[in-house]
Amino acid sequence: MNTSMQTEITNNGVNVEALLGAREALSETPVAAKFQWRAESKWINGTHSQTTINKFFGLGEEHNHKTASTFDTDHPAIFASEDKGPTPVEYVLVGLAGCLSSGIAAVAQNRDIQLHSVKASLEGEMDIQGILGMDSDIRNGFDSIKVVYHIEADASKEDIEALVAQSQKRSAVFDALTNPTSVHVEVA
Amino acid sequence: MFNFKKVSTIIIGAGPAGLSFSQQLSRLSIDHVIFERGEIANSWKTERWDSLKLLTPNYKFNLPDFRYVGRDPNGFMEKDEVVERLTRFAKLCDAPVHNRTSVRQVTKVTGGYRVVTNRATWFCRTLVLANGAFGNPVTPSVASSLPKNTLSLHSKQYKNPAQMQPGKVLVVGASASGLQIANELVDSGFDVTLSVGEHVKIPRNYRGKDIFWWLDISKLATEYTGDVLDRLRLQNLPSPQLTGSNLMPIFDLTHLSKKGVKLVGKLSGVSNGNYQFSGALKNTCKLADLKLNRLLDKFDSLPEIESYSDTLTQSERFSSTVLSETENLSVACTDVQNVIWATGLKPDYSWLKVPVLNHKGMLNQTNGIVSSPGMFTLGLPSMRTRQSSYIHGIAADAIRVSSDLKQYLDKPSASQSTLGQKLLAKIS
Repeated sequence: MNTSMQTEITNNGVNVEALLGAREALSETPVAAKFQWRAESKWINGTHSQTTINKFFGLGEEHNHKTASTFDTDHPAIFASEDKGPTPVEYVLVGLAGCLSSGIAAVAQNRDIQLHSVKASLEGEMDIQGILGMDSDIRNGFDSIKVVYHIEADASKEDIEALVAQSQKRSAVFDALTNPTSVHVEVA
Repeated sequence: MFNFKKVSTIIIGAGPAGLSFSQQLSRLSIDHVIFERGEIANSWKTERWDSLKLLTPNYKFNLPDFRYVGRDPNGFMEKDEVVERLTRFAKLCDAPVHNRTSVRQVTKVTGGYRVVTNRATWFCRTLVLANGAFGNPVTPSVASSLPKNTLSLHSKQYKNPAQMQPGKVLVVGASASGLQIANELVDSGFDVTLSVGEHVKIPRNYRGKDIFWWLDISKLATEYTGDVLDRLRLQNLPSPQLTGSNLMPIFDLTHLSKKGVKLVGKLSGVSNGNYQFSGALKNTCKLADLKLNRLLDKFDSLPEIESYSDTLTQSERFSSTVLSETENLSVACTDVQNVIWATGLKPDYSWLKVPVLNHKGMLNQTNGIVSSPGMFTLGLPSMRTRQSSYIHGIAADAIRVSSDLKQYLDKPSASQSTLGQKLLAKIS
């Protein structure tokens, strides 16, 4: 079924049938829908750390990514750091962009909309008085995030807006950012 | 041991669904009783706020063989009139209602069900759950972590603004109940914050016709909700933002925010003494606006409306929900003296000891036929059509499901046929 369905006119490279099939299968065994995403992190030096992503759990068993990925996080030179990689908050933008765009592709596929190009610009506003502990009224995290999408597709402006809106509704990272999450950090 | 009463069918609940079903069973000459924990139309009598009016125009108030006759077909009746009409309907069809009879337990027994009430134990071959889709209040878990001196009321317990403590009010939920209660409270001078999650924005009146006229002519109301995924989606939809009033064409968030109601996102929790709201409000509102416009596009392009063109006003689009630039993501708990949970209701099946509920506590049923043989239901949202949970949608479902029930009764049941065979064997 996976390949035979590729003859459809609309092809955004998303296997929607598989996703809908998964939804149906999981509605009968909701416990299989419990996933765990993991990261292994190691401090290198200064503000530089390395985090590796490889294993995750889902559908009742352990999985490995095709290849492990390693990400460097650091801070720019203006923070007197060595800038060995993006800041951690910039990775949050990476996650948000990736999540929303994949959602747009999936929703477009499901609604039979052919995409030609999907580009997004993300801006996260932050007042660093928060992280520097200068003003307790200012939060550490983003004050707000603005995402602007430029989308070329065989669809009306309203339909494209609906794609973007629906992808936010179904986005894990959008939810993680817009709603509180209980976070436990402990020392083993 | 034989200390129980027997009847072919027991109906639980004497609201619009139970009474309509009873009317159909009488037509089919099926002996039955209705158990009602209070009196006819009990939840309309005791579990609605004072100012509530029906969301559907009066001309839609039609039960089987009982059509609306009155002076105000386009008006919206008050809850007392709903109670009065349902009581009249029950009398007219001589419904065998047992008032103040609450069901304590239902179990499956050979050939039917054992129904224990506060008065007696009954046996029936078929059972109809018409106890309503809105028996139990649903409140998010944060409701239990409010400061002690905060007044916390579910919309089901809300009667009028006089119940409020002096101070500010947080209304959680932006469907019909939440909007109406927020509106009544802001009109009474309260400082109101409304927490808005996913909602269905819909006009009362479009191009000079009531929304229910549009739902009928577009066949959206009566369309069979066949596709399972589609039905699930419909069943999870919040109730539309409507109010029983013709004073304005649309009763929406913009109307409330113009009156001073502060709009915040979905309540996601209480942390460090603050109510925390989702930052997704803009998208939630955008989704509702886009969906509304798609619906109105659909209405405008209906070929069926051509013959009404002289009575229809110009096509129009309602203004998008306007939100302030900076979203308020948290409010101190100490700043809120009253919280109203307009967070919905779900059916109460606590007495139902038959394995017919799914992991969400909802009934396993298709078109009103429950997964346990001889058990039926009526009045659940989008059970057969979009209007299955509306008063005017009951008649069609009652006719259909009662005929399914009759078919079931006409089929000789397994226990009876073995008993019959044993008797035959003895005789011969």
